[in-house]
Amino acid sequence: MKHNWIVLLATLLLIAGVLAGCGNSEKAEGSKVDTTNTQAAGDAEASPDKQEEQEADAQDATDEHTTRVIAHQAGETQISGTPERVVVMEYGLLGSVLALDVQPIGYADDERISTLEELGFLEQMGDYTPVGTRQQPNLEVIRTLKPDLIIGDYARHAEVYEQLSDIAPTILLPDTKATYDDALDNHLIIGEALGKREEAEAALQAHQQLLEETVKLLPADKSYAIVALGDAVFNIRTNNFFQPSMLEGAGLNYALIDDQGETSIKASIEQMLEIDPDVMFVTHPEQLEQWEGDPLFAQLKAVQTEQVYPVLHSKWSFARSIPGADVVLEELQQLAPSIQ
Amino acid sequence: MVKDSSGMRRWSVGWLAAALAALLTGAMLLSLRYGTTHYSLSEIITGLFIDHSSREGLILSTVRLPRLAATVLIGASLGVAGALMQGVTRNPLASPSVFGVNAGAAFAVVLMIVLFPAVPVLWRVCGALIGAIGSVTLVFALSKIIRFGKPEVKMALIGVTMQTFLAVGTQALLLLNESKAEQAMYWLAGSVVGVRWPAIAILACWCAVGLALALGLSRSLAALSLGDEVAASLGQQVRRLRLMAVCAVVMLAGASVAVAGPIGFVGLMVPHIVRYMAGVHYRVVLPLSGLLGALLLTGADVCSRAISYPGETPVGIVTALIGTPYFIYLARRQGGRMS
Repeated sequence: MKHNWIVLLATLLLIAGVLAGCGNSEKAEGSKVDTTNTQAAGDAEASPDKQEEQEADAQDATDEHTTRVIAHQAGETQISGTPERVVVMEYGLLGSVLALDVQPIGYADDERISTLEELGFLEQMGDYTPVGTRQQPNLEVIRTLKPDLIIGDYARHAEVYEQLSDIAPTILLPDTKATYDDALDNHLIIGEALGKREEAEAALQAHQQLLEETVKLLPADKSYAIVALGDAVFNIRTNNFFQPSMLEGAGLNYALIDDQGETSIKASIEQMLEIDPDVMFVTHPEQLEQWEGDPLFAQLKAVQTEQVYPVLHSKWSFARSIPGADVVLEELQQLAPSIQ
Repeated sequence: MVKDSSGMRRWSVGWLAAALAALLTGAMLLSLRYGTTHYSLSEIITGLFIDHSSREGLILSTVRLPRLAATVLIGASLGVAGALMQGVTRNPLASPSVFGVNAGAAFAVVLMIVLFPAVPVLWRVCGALIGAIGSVTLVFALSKIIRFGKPEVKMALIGVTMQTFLAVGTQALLLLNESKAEQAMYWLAGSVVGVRWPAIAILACWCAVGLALALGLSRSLAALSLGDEVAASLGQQVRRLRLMAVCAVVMLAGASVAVAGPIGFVGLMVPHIVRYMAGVHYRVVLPLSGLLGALLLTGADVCSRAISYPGETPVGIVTALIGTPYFIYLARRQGGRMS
């Protein structure tokens, strides 16, 4: 008799554990499949739709309170007037929203403010209500905020698109999987949704100018790489990653080209020596200390010519938006005099 | 009862050991030879023994040789630990992870990466060891307190529960700290890339003690595989024996997971292949499992360099690729035998 309840307890624990485990893995798989399938399709149809829609809207652009249809990755959404209660659920999208002078009432901040602080978003945000994690935003909290626009990441939130749309008009855009071209589109779409298309277009023009200026400042005969340092492996961003694709598109010689669409590769010091970029921007610079004693790390060209620049992972990896890209470009301009 | 068809010795043990050793030597040479650049035998000898300061010498002596040493030690440890586990639990599908060794280490490492992102590698290794030992101690303590059923069934059940519990904890940590997950995920897949000598020193000490203990126990373990009552009637102190075997498992598997992260299936597959080839006696099975484990992991590590070149694929993914079909085959065969 005595042990029966223990067996029962153990079984319950086990079942709970297994269920939790299964739930997680299924979700991970599901979202992976979703993104690969629909991203291409979404991209393909997004741009013509958007153009058409812009033309239609151009006719009565003077009136801000018209109802407009926003085409985005998860479908089309009707938005009327200027949204004032906006909930945002990913860093890159938040960057665009803040740059358009809109303070979100809710953000999925993963229950911490350190990244927001690093990105300089916190002071711009004013008071906001945390709505849970980016991975699993709290739909009940979002509902109680009574938003009039929700902006989410397609890769993360496509599965709850229906529920989100039930709360408020929702647009989902690529962020975690965003390429540079996606970020350009995102900024325009968000501008459109917030009723600030002209500002968004102006920001894009300013951005393109900044990009050209910055690349001109950097030596064209050098190769560049952005590397996230680990304690044993280097996570080297390929030319498909957000920041490299922007710089490469503007004519910079990026050191790691990948034809298969990988955004980063994990490499040992051996492969790092083989790639051997002239200039390295390293995130997670706290790991540099461990590498400085390594005789092979010391043989890297960038290390020997003192062309290793520590940068923040949040700014050089997370902020996949046009304003985020501008921050990287401004840092590059500051570094440019010492890059040779 | 166990000595049915699989108990027949098919090859002479001496020849088998010699063949495995020869294959292992070959795999070790390949492991030194292949990488981003391929080295000839003379370059390998020059780089390792004569000129350490050239780039080849540095790559060979600070990258490839420590990686090879770690691979061989970990492979051997996992093979022997698996054989011990299957003996102690009398469960042919048991592996060190059943006691929560890997789950405990993983939880500790992820916790450390989340709390102290810049923690030095050696601290991480120590943390993983503590996690592994802690989790096994807990499983053992619980199976002492809770009384039901056969001890080996009880231990496996509590071990699985503990493992799931810790896995959920690890998942939660990763979910809530996504920005730090990248580094942790690579470790969680099991990889020997970038292992350095100080970590190998720790690994070697634990492995030496663990392997010695395992080989010392091999004769008594043969008795245990006949069942607790029979073993006791043959003069074995069953509980002490089981405790010591578990100690050896924790040392071997704990040190391995601490250095390279959880590498699955080696401990499961190797003892089966060895028993199939050389019979069931533990004095033969344990050392041969060590040899075959080292061979399997070294081979898998060489393959792992080619899969997504120039990137590194964690070797744990390669062993899982080989191991999963084998596991299913084993489970089906065992199921068939029981019914």
